[in-house]
Amino acid sequence: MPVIEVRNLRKLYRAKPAVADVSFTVAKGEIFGILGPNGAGKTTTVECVTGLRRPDSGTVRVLGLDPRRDGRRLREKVGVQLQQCELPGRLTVREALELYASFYDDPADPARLIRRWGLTEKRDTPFGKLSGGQKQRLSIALALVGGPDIVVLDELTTGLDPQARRAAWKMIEEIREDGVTIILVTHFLDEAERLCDRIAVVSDGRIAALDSPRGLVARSGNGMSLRFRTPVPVPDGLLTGLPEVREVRRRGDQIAVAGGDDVVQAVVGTLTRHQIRLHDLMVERPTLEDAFVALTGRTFED
Amino acid sequence: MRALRRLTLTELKLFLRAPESVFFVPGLPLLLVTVFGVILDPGDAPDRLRGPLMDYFPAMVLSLTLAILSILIMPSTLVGYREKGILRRMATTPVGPDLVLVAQTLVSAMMAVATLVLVTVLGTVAFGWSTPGDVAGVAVAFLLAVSALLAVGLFIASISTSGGMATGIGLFVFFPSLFLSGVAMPAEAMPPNLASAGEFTPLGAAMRGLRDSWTGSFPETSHLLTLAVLTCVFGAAAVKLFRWE
Repeated sequence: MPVIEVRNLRKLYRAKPAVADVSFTVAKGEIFGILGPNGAGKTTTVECVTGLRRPDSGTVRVLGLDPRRDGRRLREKVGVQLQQCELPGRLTVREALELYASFYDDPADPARLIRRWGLTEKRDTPFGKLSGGQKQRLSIALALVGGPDIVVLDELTTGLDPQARRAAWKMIEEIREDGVTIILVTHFLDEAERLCDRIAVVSDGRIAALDSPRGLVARSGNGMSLRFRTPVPVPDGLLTGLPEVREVRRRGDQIAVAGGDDVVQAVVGTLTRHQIRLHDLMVERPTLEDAFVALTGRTFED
Repeated sequence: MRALRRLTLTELKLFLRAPESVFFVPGLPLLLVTVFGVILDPGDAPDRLRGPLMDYFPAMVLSLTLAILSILIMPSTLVGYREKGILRRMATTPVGPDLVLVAQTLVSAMMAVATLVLVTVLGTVAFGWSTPGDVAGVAVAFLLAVSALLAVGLFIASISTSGGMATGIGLFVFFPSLFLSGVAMPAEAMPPNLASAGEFTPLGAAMRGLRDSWTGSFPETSHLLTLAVLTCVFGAAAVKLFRWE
């Protein structure tokens, strides 16, 4: 039984579709990624899921509730971390958590959240004096203060340094260990690949593909590729004749071979049988970025 | 109720932590009371000067405070909250963002009442001012004045798309209000036509109501009615036009 069900969601801004047609379901306990470049419709999609916006058409059910009709009940159970959201600069960490705790019927203990997210030393520090990483931890703690079943994290790691990003990833995994379902909105491929069970690739207000990170890569059909040098020339036709090989390119004494998933085995095996040694072997698995380009027909930065 | 109590308390703390707002409320009115209290000391000042000024001054200080609080401070705070995404963040919680408006209005009203008390106590205890002549009249006029001016403030917040715009509109409303209302100079020193037109502005009606009741007569119905109507008109417009993001 899915905790989130979105069917044929559509939302227009000034007659232009921000979300054209989006459908997906999220299972309990999953980390579900919504991935796409800026302006693809990711944020609008989650805003409809959390009831911040009213869809023009389509249906949304979250924990069996309609976000527009049962908004209040739903918000008791869905914690949200918003992109670019601040708190009053002079509000301290502890005050912020105690304030937000008072908004919920059955809140988590603010003191425990402060300890758990490493904010003990900063509990009396005003929001305006926190570092980026500390603000992020507070914003996660605030999303969890209602004791939610679902947490929406929108561009959690944007603007963080690499170390703070890795720390945030660890936090996300910890949240999931508590059995909380997570919607992760991101435009970082490495983040989605590393954390998500499934990823909806959004492009131009539509879902271009929906699968596990591995599945997306496999589905894009790019296979594997390898590069190497050999001390002696490789006869023409030796590699191109193999069924696993799709393409062979030579640049100087370097040979690059691309093919299906078994191409590495095939090439290495054949060369070994011909007693040709390989130097500087490099194997490349296509990345999610390659998959994204293949699936949407555009580069990720567009 | 628990959420509203906690939010109002938090907003009150934030107000008191901001030097830029505490300087004006309650700082400025207390400063004015002290300065004029010294100048108009009963021992030195001739009665001919003291009499008319004392009859004008308490109402002037209170009206000025209400104008600063509701036209300058509150709108820019609320619009700042909107710009920072604080209202949107509130919209994702069970209580919703309208509670921030309620809390802000309550905090402004509390600061206004605190100023009323502080000004009265300081004036009478330290400088021998007369206590309010018609206490019930002052209470009614003050409450209606607070609600009318806060409604104007909410309206300014609702039509401003940025903090800068809220400050700009606030100043644009603030200074003409001071001159039209008989706050910047006593109404009897103004051209009669201008003075009677000013009676129907929010600050003008507030000023007249407070002046009358401070000197001992219950405020005129037309002034109280003006404040009540302005509260409804600007309040309703603000509720209709307010944008959460």
